[in-house]
Amino acid sequence: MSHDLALVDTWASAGDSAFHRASALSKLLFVALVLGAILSSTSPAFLAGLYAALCVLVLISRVPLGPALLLSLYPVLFSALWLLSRWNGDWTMPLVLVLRSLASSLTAVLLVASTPYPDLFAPIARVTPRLVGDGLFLTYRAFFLLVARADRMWTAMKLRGGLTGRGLPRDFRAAGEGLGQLVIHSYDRSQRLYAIMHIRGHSGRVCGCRHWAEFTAFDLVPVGFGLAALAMRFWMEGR
Amino acid sequence: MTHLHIADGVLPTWLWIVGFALAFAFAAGASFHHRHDRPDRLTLLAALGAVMLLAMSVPIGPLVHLSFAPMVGILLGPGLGFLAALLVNATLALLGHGGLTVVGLNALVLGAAVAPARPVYRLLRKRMKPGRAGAFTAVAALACSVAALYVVIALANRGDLASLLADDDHAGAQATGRFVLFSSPFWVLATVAEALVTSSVLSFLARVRPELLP
Repeated sequence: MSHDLALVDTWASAGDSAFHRASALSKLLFVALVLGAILSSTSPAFLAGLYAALCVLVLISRVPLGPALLLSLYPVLFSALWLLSRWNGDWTMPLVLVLRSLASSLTAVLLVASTPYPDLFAPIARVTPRLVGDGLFLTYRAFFLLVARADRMWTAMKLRGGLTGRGLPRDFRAAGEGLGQLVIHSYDRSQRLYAIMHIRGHSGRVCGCRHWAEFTAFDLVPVGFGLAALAMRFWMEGR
Repeated sequence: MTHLHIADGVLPTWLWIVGFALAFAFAAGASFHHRHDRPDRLTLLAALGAVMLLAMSVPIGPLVHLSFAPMVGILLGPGLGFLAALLVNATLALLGHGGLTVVGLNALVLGAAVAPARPVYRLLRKRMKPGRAGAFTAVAALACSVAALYVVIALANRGDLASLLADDDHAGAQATGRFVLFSSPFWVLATVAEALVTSSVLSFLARVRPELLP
Protein backbone atom coordinates (compact mmCIF):
# COMPACT_ATOMS: atom_id res chain seq x y z
CA MET A 1 0.00 0.00 0.00
CA SER A 2 2.62 2.53 1.01
CA HIS A 3 4.70 1.84 -2.08
CA ASP A 4 1.60 2.03 -4.29
CA LEU A 5 0.87 5.50 -2.99
CA ALA A 6 4.45 6.66 -3.56
CA LEU A 7 4.42 5.17 -7.08
CA VAL A 8 1.15 6.83 -8.06
CA ASP A 9 2.35 10.18 -6.74
CA THR A 10 5.46 9.92 -8.94
CA TRP A 11 3.32 9.20 -12.04
CA ALA A 12 1.10 12.20 -11.27
CA SER A 13 3.99 14.62 -10.74
CA ALA A 14 6.28 13.47 -13.56
CA GLY A 15 3.75 12.97 -16.39
CA ASP A 16 3.16 15.51 -19.17
CA SER A 17 0.53 13.84 -21.38
CA ALA A 18 -2.64 15.62 -22.53
CA PHE A 19 -4.52 13.89 -19.70
CA HIS A 20 -1.97 15.17 -17.17
CA ARG A 21 -2.30 18.71 -18.51
CA ALA A 22 -6.10 18.80 -18.22
CA SER A 23 -7.47 20.58 -15.14
CA ALA A 24 -8.39 18.64 -12.00
CA LEU A 25 -12.00 19.77 -12.29
CA SER A 26 -12.41 18.32 -15.80
CA LYS A 27 -10.85 15.03 -14.62
CA LEU A 28 -13.27 14.90 -11.69
CA LEU A 29 -16.09 15.42 -14.23
CA PHE A 30 -14.57 12.58 -16.29
CA VAL A 31 -14.70 10.30 -13.23
CA ALA A 32 -18.34 11.23 -12.53
CA LEU A 33 -19.39 10.59 -16.15
CA VAL A 34 -17.51 7.29 -16.46
CA LEU A 35 -18.78 6.08 -13.07
CA GLY A 36 -22.31 7.01 -14.17
CA ALA A 37 -21.89 4.86 -17.28
CA ILE A 38 -20.37 1.97 -15.29
CA LEU A 39 -22.91 1.93 -12.48
CA SER A 40 -25.93 2.16 -14.78
CA SER A 41 -24.77 -0.58 -17.16
CA THR A 42 -25.76 -4.23 -16.93
CA SER A 43 -24.12 -5.27 -20.21
CA PRO A 44 -20.90 -7.32 -19.94
CA ALA A 45 -20.04 -6.35 -23.55
CA PHE A 46 -20.27 -2.62 -22.84
CA LEU A 47 -18.33 -2.90 -19.57
CA ALA A 48 -15.58 -4.99 -21.19
CA GLY A 49 -15.35 -2.46 -24.05
CA LEU A 50 -15.17 0.44 -21.59
CA TYR A 51 -12.47 -1.31 -19.57
CA ALA A 52 -10.43 -1.84 -22.77
CA ALA A 53 -10.92 1.86 -23.69
CA LEU A 54 -9.72 2.89 -20.21
CA CYS A 55 -6.61 0.70 -20.67
CA VAL A 56 -5.92 2.55 -23.95
CA LEU A 57 -6.39 5.88 -22.15
CA VAL A 58 -3.91 4.76 -19.47
CA LEU A 59 -1.38 3.92 -22.20
CA ILE A 60 -1.98 7.24 -24.02
CA SER A 61 -1.47 9.04 -20.70
CA ARG A 62 1.89 7.26 -20.40
CA VAL A 63 0.99 5.78 -17.03
CA PRO A 64 2.60 2.30 -16.75
CA LEU A 65 -0.24 -0.07 -17.63
CA GLY A 66 0.97 -3.13 -15.68
CA PRO A 67 1.21 -1.51 -12.24
CA ALA A 68 -2.00 0.47 -12.88
CA LEU A 69 -3.86 -2.75 -13.73
CA LEU A 70 -2.44 -4.44 -10.62
CA LEU A 71 -3.74 -1.58 -8.47
CA SER A 72 -7.16 -1.89 -10.08
CA LEU A 73 -7.26 -5.62 -9.17
CA TYR A 74 -7.49 -4.95 -5.41
CA PRO A 75 -11.28 -4.63 -5.28
CA VAL A 76 -11.79 -7.78 -7.34
CA LEU A 77 -9.88 -9.81 -4.78
CA PHE A 78 -11.86 -8.35 -1.94
CA SER A 79 -15.20 -8.64 -3.77
CA ALA A 80 -14.68 -12.38 -4.22
CA LEU A 81 -16.29 -13.21 -0.89
CA TRP A 82 -19.29 -11.08 -1.72
CA LEU A 83 -19.76 -12.67 -5.14
CA LEU A 84 -19.23 -16.16 -3.73
CA SER A 85 -21.93 -15.61 -1.12
CA ARG A 86 -24.44 -14.51 -3.76
CA TRP A 87 -23.68 -16.87 -6.63
CA ASN A 88 -26.76 -18.64 -7.96
CA GLY A 89 -25.19 -20.56 -10.85
CA ASP A 90 -25.57 -17.72 -13.34
CA TRP A 91 -22.35 -16.14 -14.65
CA THR A 92 -23.80 -12.91 -16.03
CA MET A 93 -24.25 -10.97 -12.78
CA PRO A 94 -20.83 -11.90 -11.28
CA LEU A 95 -19.23 -10.95 -14.62
CA VAL A 96 -21.02 -7.58 -14.61
CA LEU A 97 -19.99 -6.91 -11.00
CA VAL A 98 -16.34 -7.86 -11.61
CA LEU A 99 -16.15 -5.70 -14.75
CA ARG A 100 -17.77 -2.80 -12.89
CA SER A 101 -15.18 -3.16 -10.10
CA LEU A 102 -12.26 -3.34 -12.53
CA ALA A 103 -13.41 -0.39 -14.68
CA SER A 104 -14.27 1.89 -11.76
CA SER A 105 -11.05 1.26 -9.87
CA LEU A 106 -8.98 1.81 -13.04
CA THR A 107 -10.84 5.12 -13.47
CA ALA A 108 -9.85 6.14 -9.92
CA VAL A 109 -6.24 5.06 -10.49
CA LEU A 110 -6.11 7.05 -13.76
CA LEU A 111 -7.41 10.15 -11.96
CA VAL A 112 -4.88 10.03 -9.14
CA ALA A 113 -2.01 8.93 -11.43
CA SER A 114 -2.48 11.98 -13.65
CA THR A 115 -3.30 14.69 -11.08
CA PRO A 116 -0.87 16.03 -8.44
CA TYR A 117 -2.47 15.87 -5.02
CA PRO A 118 -2.70 19.64 -4.30
CA ASP A 119 -4.70 20.05 -7.54
CA LEU A 120 -6.87 17.05 -6.77
CA PHE A 121 -7.65 17.92 -3.15
CA ALA A 122 -8.28 21.66 -3.74
CA PRO A 123 -11.76 21.25 -5.31
CA ILE A 124 -12.64 18.45 -2.85
CA ALA A 125 -11.67 20.70 0.09
CA ARG A 126 -14.19 23.30 -1.09
CA VAL A 127 -17.18 21.01 -0.62
CA THR A 128 -16.14 19.12 2.53
CA PRO A 129 -16.02 20.17 6.21
CA ARG A 130 -12.88 22.13 7.12
CA LEU A 131 -11.15 19.35 9.06
CA VAL A 132 -11.74 16.88 6.20
CA GLY A 133 -10.48 19.19 3.44
CA ASP A 134 -7.42 20.34 5.36
CA GLY A 135 -6.88 16.86 6.77
CA LEU A 136 -6.63 15.36 3.26
CA PHE A 137 -3.76 17.69 2.36
CA LEU A 138 -1.90 17.16 5.60
CA THR A 139 -2.46 13.37 5.76
CA TYR A 140 -1.07 12.94 2.27
CA ARG A 141 1.92 15.13 3.13
CA ALA A 142 2.51 13.39 6.47
CA PHE A 143 2.38 10.02 4.77
CA PHE A 144 5.30 10.86 2.48
CA LEU A 145 7.29 12.21 5.40
CA LEU A 146 6.75 8.92 7.25
CA VAL A 147 7.04 6.31 4.53
CA ALA A 148 10.82 6.41 4.11
CA ARG A 149 11.35 6.21 7.87
CA ALA A 150 8.90 3.31 8.14
CA ASP A 151 10.65 1.42 5.33
CA ARG A 152 14.03 1.81 7.05
CA MET A 153 12.55 0.68 10.36
CA TRP A 154 10.88 -2.47 8.90
CA THR A 155 14.13 -3.37 7.11
CA ALA A 156 16.15 -2.95 10.31
CA MET A 157 13.66 -5.05 12.27
CA LYS A 158 13.79 -7.85 9.67
CA LEU A 159 17.59 -7.81 9.58
CA ARG A 160 17.78 -8.03 13.38
CA GLY A 161 15.29 -10.90 13.51
CA GLY A 162 12.44 -8.84 14.96
CA LEU A 163 10.08 -9.79 12.15
CA THR A 164 10.17 -13.36 10.85
CA GLY A 165 7.36 -12.80 8.33
CA ARG A 166 5.61 -15.99 9.48
CA GLY A 167 2.77 -14.22 11.25
CA LEU A 168 3.91 -15.38 14.71
CA PRO A 169 2.60 -13.58 17.84
CA ARG A 170 6.07 -12.15 18.45
CA ASP A 171 5.97 -10.66 14.93
CA PHE A 172 2.85 -8.73 15.87
CA ARG A 173 4.38 -7.59 19.16
CA ALA A 174 7.48 -6.39 17.30
CA ALA A 175 5.32 -4.72 14.64
CA GLY A 176 3.40 -3.04 17.46
CA GLU A 177 6.58 -1.59 18.98
CA GLY A 178 7.59 -0.36 15.53
CA LEU A 179 4.21 1.27 15.01
CA GLY A 180 4.49 2.76 18.52
CA GLN A 181 7.74 4.42 17.47
CA LEU A 182 6.00 5.78 14.37
CA VAL A 183 3.18 7.15 16.56
CA ILE A 184 5.69 9.00 18.75
CA HIS A 185 7.60 10.27 15.72
CA SER A 186 4.32 11.41 14.10
CA TYR A 187 3.23 13.16 17.28
CA ASP A 188 6.50 15.07 17.58
CA ARG A 189 6.46 15.93 13.88
CA SER A 190 2.86 17.16 14.05
CA GLN A 191 3.82 19.53 16.89
CA ARG A 192 6.75 20.84 14.83
CA LEU A 193 4.56 21.22 11.74
CA TYR A 194 2.02 23.21 13.73
CA ALA A 195 4.81 25.50 15.02
CA ILE A 196 6.02 26.04 11.44
CA MET A 197 2.49 26.75 10.19
CA HIS A 198 2.01 29.22 13.07
CA ILE A 199 5.28 31.04 12.26
CA ARG A 200 4.28 31.26 8.59
CA GLY A 201 0.99 32.94 9.48
CA HIS A 202 -1.46 30.00 9.40
CA SER A 203 -4.94 31.56 9.50
CA GLY A 204 -6.92 28.46 10.41
CA ARG A 205 -7.31 27.11 6.88
CA VAL A 206 -4.88 25.22 4.63
CA CYS A 207 -5.22 26.74 1.13
CA GLY A 208 -4.86 24.49 -1.89
CA CYS A 209 -3.37 25.52 -5.23
CA ARG A 210 -5.43 27.61 -7.63
CA HIS A 211 -4.69 25.64 -10.83
CA TRP A 212 -7.46 23.11 -10.43
CA ALA A 213 -9.95 25.11 -12.50
CA GLU A 214 -7.69 26.64 -15.17
CA PHE A 215 -9.27 25.33 -18.34
CA THR A 216 -7.35 24.66 -21.56
CA ALA A 217 -7.95 22.67 -24.76
CA PHE A 218 -6.54 19.61 -22.95
CA ASP A 219 -9.72 19.49 -20.86
CA LEU A 220 -11.56 18.22 -23.94
CA VAL A 221 -9.75 14.86 -23.58
CA PRO A 222 -11.22 13.73 -20.21
CA VAL A 223 -14.59 15.43 -20.69
CA GLY A 224 -14.91 14.09 -24.25
CA PHE A 225 -14.03 10.56 -23.10
CA GLY A 226 -16.55 10.73 -20.27
CA LEU A 227 -19.36 12.01 -22.50
CA ALA A 228 -18.54 9.39 -25.16
CA ALA A 229 -18.68 6.61 -22.52
CA LEU A 230 -22.07 7.78 -21.29
CA ALA A 231 -23.43 8.21 -24.85
CA MET A 232 -22.21 4.72 -25.79
CA ARG A 233 -23.89 3.27 -22.72
CA PHE A 234 -27.28 4.75 -23.72
CA TRP A 235 -26.77 3.83 -27.39
CA MET A 236 -26.03 0.17 -26.56
CA GLU A 237 -28.49 -0.40 -23.73
CA GLY A 238 -31.13 2.34 -24.01
CA ARG A 239 -32.54 3.81 -20.79
CA MET B 1 -11.68 -7.63 6.95
CA THR B 2 -12.13 -4.92 9.52
CA HIS B 3 -13.38 -2.54 6.90
CA LEU B 4 -15.57 -2.95 3.85
CA HIS B 5 -13.62 -3.78 0.72
CA ILE B 6 -16.52 -4.15 -1.65
CA ALA B 7 -15.95 -2.12 -4.78
CA ASP B 8 -17.99 0.30 -6.87
CA GLY B 9 -21.06 -1.01 -8.66
CA VAL B 10 -21.72 -3.88 -6.26
CA LEU B 11 -24.00 -2.33 -3.64
CA PRO B 12 -27.44 -0.86 -4.47
CA THR B 13 -27.36 2.86 -5.26
CA TRP B 14 -29.61 3.88 -2.36
CA LEU B 15 -27.27 2.20 0.12
CA TRP B 16 -24.07 3.99 -0.87
CA ILE B 17 -25.93 7.32 -1.14
CA VAL B 18 -27.23 6.86 2.43
CA GLY B 19 -23.67 5.89 3.45
CA PHE B 20 -22.29 9.08 1.93
CA ALA B 21 -24.98 11.21 3.59
CA LEU B 22 -24.39 9.66 7.03
CA ALA B 23 -20.60 9.89 6.75
CA PHE B 24 -20.87 13.53 5.63
CA ALA B 25 -23.22 14.30 8.54
CA PHE B 26 -20.89 12.64 11.08
CA ALA B 27 -17.86 14.41 9.58
CA ALA B 28 -19.65 17.77 9.66
CA GLY B 29 -20.71 17.13 13.26
CA ALA B 30 -17.17 16.17 14.30
CA SER B 31 -15.70 19.12 12.43
CA PHE B 32 -18.17 21.48 14.17
CA HIS B 33 -17.56 19.91 17.59
CA HIS B 34 -13.78 20.34 17.24
CA ARG B 35 -13.89 23.78 15.59
CA HIS B 36 -12.31 25.51 18.62
CA ASP B 37 -9.56 22.89 19.07
CA ARG B 38 -5.97 24.07 18.87
CA PRO B 39 -4.73 23.76 15.26
CA ASP B 40 -2.13 21.21 16.36
CA ARG B 41 -5.01 18.72 16.72
CA LEU B 42 -5.40 18.95 12.94
CA THR B 43 -1.73 18.15 12.37
CA LEU B 44 -1.99 15.25 14.86
CA LEU B 45 -5.10 13.95 13.04
CA ALA B 46 -3.17 14.02 9.76
CA ALA B 47 -0.12 12.37 11.31
CA LEU B 48 -2.13 9.50 12.82
CA GLY B 49 -4.07 9.12 9.56
CA ALA B 50 -0.71 8.66 7.84
CA VAL B 51 0.35 6.04 10.44
CA MET B 52 -2.98 4.28 9.83
CA LEU B 53 -2.20 4.14 6.08
CA LEU B 54 1.25 2.73 6.87
CA ALA B 55 -0.18 0.17 9.31
CA MET B 56 -2.48 -1.04 6.54
CA SER B 57 0.66 -2.03 4.63
CA VAL B 58 1.35 -4.74 7.22
CA PRO B 59 -0.17 -7.90 5.69
CA ILE B 60 -1.47 -10.62 8.01
CA GLY B 61 -2.53 -13.13 5.36
CA PRO B 62 -4.68 -13.35 2.22
CA LEU B 63 -7.35 -10.58 2.14
CA VAL B 64 -6.34 -9.38 5.63
CA HIS B 65 -4.17 -6.53 6.87
CA LEU B 66 -3.99 -4.43 10.03
CA SER B 67 -6.35 -1.46 10.31
CA PHE B 68 -4.88 0.32 13.39
CA ALA B 69 -8.39 1.74 13.90
CA PRO B 70 -8.71 0.89 17.63
CA MET B 71 -5.32 2.49 18.36
CA VAL B 72 -6.20 5.67 16.45
CA GLY B 73 -9.56 5.74 18.24
CA ILE B 74 -7.85 5.52 21.64
CA LEU B 75 -5.39 8.31 20.80
CA LEU B 76 -7.76 10.71 19.01
CA GLY B 77 -11.18 10.03 20.54
CA PRO B 78 -14.45 9.41 18.68
CA GLY B 79 -14.82 12.66 16.67
CA LEU B 80 -11.32 13.14 15.30
CA GLY B 81 -10.95 9.36 15.06
CA PHE B 82 -13.94 9.17 12.72
CA LEU B 83 -12.41 11.94 10.60
CA ALA B 84 -9.16 9.95 10.42
CA ALA B 85 -11.14 6.90 9.22
CA LEU B 86 -12.81 9.03 6.55
CA LEU B 87 -9.51 10.52 5.37
CA VAL B 88 -7.84 7.12 5.16
CA ASN B 89 -10.72 5.62 3.19
CA ALA B 90 -10.81 8.57 0.80
CA THR B 91 -7.08 8.18 0.15
CA LEU B 92 -7.46 4.42 -0.38
CA ALA B 93 -10.39 4.89 -2.77
CA LEU B 94 -8.22 7.12 -4.95
CA LEU B 95 -5.83 4.17 -5.25
CA GLY B 96 -8.64 1.95 -6.51
CA HIS B 97 -8.70 0.21 -3.13
CA GLY B 98 -12.30 0.15 -1.94
CA GLY B 99 -14.25 2.14 -4.51
CA LEU B 100 -15.12 5.82 -4.77
CA THR B 101 -18.85 5.41 -4.25
CA VAL B 102 -18.40 3.36 -1.07
CA VAL B 103 -16.10 5.84 0.69
CA GLY B 104 -18.98 6.82 2.99
CA LEU B 105 -19.86 3.25 3.90
CA ASN B 106 -16.20 2.32 4.33
CA ALA B 107 -15.77 5.29 6.66
CA LEU B 108 -18.83 4.29 8.68
CA VAL B 109 -17.62 0.68 9.04
CA LEU B 110 -14.07 1.69 10.00
CA GLY B 111 -15.48 4.54 12.11
CA ALA B 112 -17.51 1.98 14.05
CA ALA B 113 -14.17 0.58 15.26
CA VAL B 114 -12.64 3.98 15.97
CA ALA B 115 -15.52 5.71 17.77
CA PRO B 116 -16.01 3.38 20.79
CA ALA B 117 -12.29 2.70 21.33
CA ARG B 118 -11.45 5.53 23.75
CA PRO B 119 -14.52 5.14 26.05
CA VAL B 120 -13.99 1.36 26.21
CA TYR B 121 -10.27 1.77 26.87
CA ARG B 122 -10.88 4.29 29.68
CA LEU B 123 -13.37 1.91 31.27
CA LEU B 124 -11.02 -1.08 31.09
CA ARG B 125 -7.97 0.94 32.13
CA LYS B 126 -9.44 1.32 35.63
CA ARG B 127 -8.96 -2.42 36.20
CA MET B 128 -6.16 -3.42 33.83
CA LYS B 129 -2.69 -2.46 32.63
CA PRO B 130 -2.55 -0.46 29.36
CA GLY B 131 -1.50 -3.42 27.18
CA ARG B 132 -4.23 -5.77 28.34
CA ALA B 133 -6.87 -2.98 28.29
CA GLY B 134 -5.78 -2.17 24.72
CA ALA B 135 -6.13 -5.79 23.59
CA PHE B 136 -9.68 -6.08 24.93
CA THR B 137 -10.51 -2.64 23.51
CA ALA B 138 -9.31 -3.78 20.07
CA VAL B 139 -11.54 -6.87 20.21
CA ALA B 140 -14.58 -4.80 21.27
CA ALA B 141 -13.90 -2.10 18.65
CA LEU B 142 -13.45 -4.60 15.83
CA ALA B 143 -16.61 -6.44 16.90
CA CYS B 144 -18.50 -3.13 16.46
CA SER B 145 -16.90 -2.65 13.05
CA VAL B 146 -17.69 -6.15 11.82
CA ALA B 147 -21.26 -5.83 13.11
CA ALA B 148 -21.57 -2.62 11.06
CA LEU B 149 -20.12 -4.44 8.03
CA TYR B 150 -22.64 -7.28 8.36
CA VAL B 151 -25.52 -4.78 8.70
CA VAL B 152 -24.38 -3.19 5.41
CA ILE B 153 -24.18 -6.62 3.75
CA ALA B 154 -27.63 -7.60 5.06
CA LEU B 155 -29.13 -4.32 3.80
CA ALA B 156 -27.45 -4.78 0.42
CA ASN B 157 -28.78 -8.31 0.07
CA ARG B 158 -32.26 -7.25 1.12
CA GLY B 159 -32.15 -4.29 -1.27
CA ASP B 160 -31.74 -5.88 -4.66
CA LEU B 161 -31.46 -9.61 -4.42
CA ALA B 162 -35.25 -9.83 -4.45
CA SER B 163 -35.26 -8.57 -8.02
CA LEU B 164 -32.60 -11.10 -9.05
CA LEU B 165 -34.19 -14.09 -7.31
CA ALA B 166 -37.82 -13.08 -7.10
CA ASP B 167 -39.10 -16.57 -6.31
CA ASP B 168 -36.92 -17.06 -3.21
CA ASP B 169 -37.93 -14.97 -0.18
CA HIS B 170 -35.03 -16.20 1.97
CA ALA B 171 -32.31 -15.62 -0.62
CA GLY B 172 -31.11 -12.37 0.96
CA ALA B 173 -30.79 -13.88 4.42
CA GLN B 174 -29.03 -16.94 2.99
CA ALA B 175 -26.56 -14.79 1.05
CA THR B 176 -25.81 -12.75 4.20
CA GLY B 177 -25.33 -15.96 6.17
CA ARG B 178 -22.90 -17.29 3.57
CA PHE B 179 -20.96 -14.02 3.63
CA VAL B 180 -20.68 -14.20 7.43
CA LEU B 181 -19.56 -17.83 7.19
CA PHE B 182 -16.92 -17.19 4.51
CA SER B 183 -15.55 -14.04 6.13
CA SER B 184 -15.44 -15.22 9.76
CA PRO B 185 -12.01 -16.93 9.58
CA PHE B 186 -10.45 -13.75 8.15
CA TRP B 187 -12.14 -11.66 10.81
CA VAL B 188 -10.88 -13.89 13.66
CA LEU B 189 -7.33 -13.75 12.27
CA ALA B 190 -7.48 -9.96 11.85
CA THR B 191 -8.88 -9.46 15.37
CA VAL B 192 -6.16 -11.57 17.04
CA ALA B 193 -3.45 -9.70 15.14
CA GLU B 194 -5.00 -6.30 15.85
CA ALA B 195 -5.35 -7.11 19.56
CA LEU B 196 -1.68 -8.17 19.80
CA VAL B 197 -0.49 -5.08 17.93
CA THR B 198 -2.71 -2.67 19.92
CA SER B 199 -1.55 -4.23 23.18
CA SER B 200 2.08 -3.94 22.12
CA VAL B 201 1.73 -0.29 20.99
CA LEU B 202 -0.01 0.69 24.24
CA SER B 203 2.55 -1.10 26.45
CA PHE B 204 5.31 0.64 24.51
CA LEU B 205 3.68 4.08 24.77
CA ALA B 206 2.94 3.57 28.48
CA ARG B 207 6.66 2.92 29.06
CA VAL B 208 8.09 5.60 26.76
CA ARG B 209 5.53 8.44 26.47
CA PRO B 210 2.67 7.86 28.94
CA GLU B 211 1.42 11.46 28.49
CA LEU B 212 0.14 10.54 25.00
CA LEU B 213 -2.39 8.06 26.44
CA PRO B 214 -5.86 9.13 27.66
